[in-house]
Amino acid sequence: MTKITVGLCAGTSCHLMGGMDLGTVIEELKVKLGDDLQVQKHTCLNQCRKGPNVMLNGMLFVGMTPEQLKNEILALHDREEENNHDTTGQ
Amino acid sequence: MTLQVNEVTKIRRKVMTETARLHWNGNLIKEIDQLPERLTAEHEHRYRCCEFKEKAIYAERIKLAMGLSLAPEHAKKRLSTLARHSLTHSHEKNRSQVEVIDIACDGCPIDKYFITNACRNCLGHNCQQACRRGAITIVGNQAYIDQSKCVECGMCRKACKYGAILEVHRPCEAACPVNAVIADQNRKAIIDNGKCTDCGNCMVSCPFGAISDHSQLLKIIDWLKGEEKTVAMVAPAIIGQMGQKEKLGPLFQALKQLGFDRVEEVSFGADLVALGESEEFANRVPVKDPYMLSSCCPAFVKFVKIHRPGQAEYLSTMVSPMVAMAKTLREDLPLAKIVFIGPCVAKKREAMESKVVDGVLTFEELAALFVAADINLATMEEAQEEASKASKDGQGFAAAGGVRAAMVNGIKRFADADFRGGSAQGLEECLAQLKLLEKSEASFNFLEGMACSGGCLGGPGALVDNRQTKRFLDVRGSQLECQNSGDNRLAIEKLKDLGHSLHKSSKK
Repeated sequence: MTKITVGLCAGTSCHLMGGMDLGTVIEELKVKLGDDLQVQKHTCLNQCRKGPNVMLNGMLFVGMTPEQLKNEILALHDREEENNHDTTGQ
Repeated sequence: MTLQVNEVTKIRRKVMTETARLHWNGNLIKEIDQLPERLTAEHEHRYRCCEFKEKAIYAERIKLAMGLSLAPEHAKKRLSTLARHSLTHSHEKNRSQVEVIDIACDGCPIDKYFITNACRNCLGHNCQQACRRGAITIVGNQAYIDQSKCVECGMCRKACKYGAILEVHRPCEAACPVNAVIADQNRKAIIDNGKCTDCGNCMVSCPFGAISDHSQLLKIIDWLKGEEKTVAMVAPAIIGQMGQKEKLGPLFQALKQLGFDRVEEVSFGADLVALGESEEFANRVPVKDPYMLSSCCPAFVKFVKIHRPGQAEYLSTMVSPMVAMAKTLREDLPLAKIVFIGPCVAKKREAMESKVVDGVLTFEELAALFVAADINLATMEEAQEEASKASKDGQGFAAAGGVRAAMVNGIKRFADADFRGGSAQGLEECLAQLKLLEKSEASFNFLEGMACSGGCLGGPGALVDNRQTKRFLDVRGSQLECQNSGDNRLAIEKLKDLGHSLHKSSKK
C-alpha cells in the first residue's frame, strides 16, 4: 500500500495567495489515488510570506503552484509504487 | 471562467498586504520608500526588462494601494511624501475608480489579424480571395495585411487552410462591455471615464496586471486604530470567501479582532429592498410604467444611465441593500464609520456618493488586511455565529437570479400584481434584455440586472470561484430560520420606520 500524506495550509495568508487552487488539485488527485493519498489540513506552517504552502510526507513545500503540487504528488506516488513493486517482487 | 490565482493577482495582493502591514504596524512613512526594492528582491521571478522597471511598477501599485491616483502630479514624488498626503487628505472625489498603470501596460497589439510564419505562400491564396477590401498582398514570400484597409471582418482567417492567420484581442478591450477601454497613440490602454461603469472587468482580465482600482485600506486602518466606533457591513457574497465554507462565525470573530465594534450582514438591507421594491413594482407596473429595472447593482445602474438613458426612468427608486443597511445603522450610530465589505469595485463610487457609507473594502483587500494584522481565520474554526437577522431571500441577492427570486416571494403580498421576472448577468446580457424590453418583445416585466457574471459572487473582488461559493450560499440559506423577506418581521417593521428615506428621489 502506497501512502502519501498531503497537508495544505488553510491559513488566511496562504488562502490569499491561492491556497484554494491547491485544494482543488488535491481533491482531484484524491479521486484518482483514493486511499493512497491521505489529506490533512494545517492552520499555519509558519512560512506565511512564502505561501501558499503544503506539507508533503513531512516535507515543507513553499510557494507552490497547482501544477507543481500535482507533479510532486504524482512523482512521489510513482516512486513509492516502484519501491513497493521491487520489495514485493523479490 | 474558473477563478484562479495567477502571478499578477499574487503581486497585487502582496503589494496590498505589505502596504497595509506597514501602516498597521505604524511604520508606513518610515519604511514605504524601501518597499518597492524589498518586493523586487523578495520576488524571485523577473517579469520586466530590468529591476528598475519592476521597482517603478511596484511604486505605482503601492500608490494605488494607498488610495492615490496615478495623476502626473504624483509622478515624481517620494512614496513617503505621498503616504503623508494620503493620510491627511480626503480622497479626490471626481476621479476615476479604475486606473491604468501606464508603465505596466505592455501596449498589446491593436491590429486584430496577423499573418504568422505558418503562411506557406500557397498557390490558392484563399486569404486574398476572401478579403473584400483588397487588404491582402503578397510581400516577399508571405501574405501581408495592409492594416489601413483591413476592416477586421475575419474572412481571411476563416479562408486560410493552414490556420496561419491569427486573431489577437487586447484582453482589456475584450473584457469591457461598453468599449470604455481604448488604446492611445502609443497603444497603451486608457479608460474613457465618460463610458466606464466601474464594473472592474478589465482589472481582472489584464495579464500584465496593468489595471487596478484605488484601495481605501489606509483610512480604514486609521479608523480601526482610532477612537471612532466602526461598523463592518458584509455583503452576502462573503460566504466562503475566506476559506471557511458556509460558516460565518470565524469571519465575524476575525472582524472584531481587527477592531470593528459591530459586524452586520447587508442581507438584512436586501430584505428591506426586496420588500420595498416589490411594493414599488405593484404600484408602478403596469399602470404607470410598462416594466421596472432593479437598482441594487451600481455598475448596472450606471450602465443604464450612461448607455441606455431612455430606459433610466424605469429603474427602481429603491436604494441598494448596502445603502439601506447603512441607513438602518445610522439611526443608532450617527457618527460611526461604516465600512462596506463586498466583492465589488463599483460600490466604492456608490458609497462615496451615498454619503452614508464611509468606506469600502473588497474581499481581497479584507484578506490582505487580515494577513497584515496577523489574523488567521483557520485558527477560529470553532467560533459560533449569531442568528442572522436576514432571510434566505435577502442572502440570495448575492447570486445571479437572487433578486428576481426574492421579488417573486415579495410580490405575493399583492394579490393582483402581474409580475414576470427576468434576470441578466454580465452587461452584454443586460443590454440584450434591455433592448427586448424597449421593443416590448420581452416575456418579463421586471429585469434584475447584474454587471458581473454569476452576480455579486462573481465580482472582481471575490477570492473564490462563484460556483463553489454558490453551493455554500445555498447550504447556509437552507439553514436560515427565516426563508422569505415577507416573513422577516424585523425587516417589515424597519421598512415602516424608514420607508421614504429608502427611495432615491426622497430628500429625507
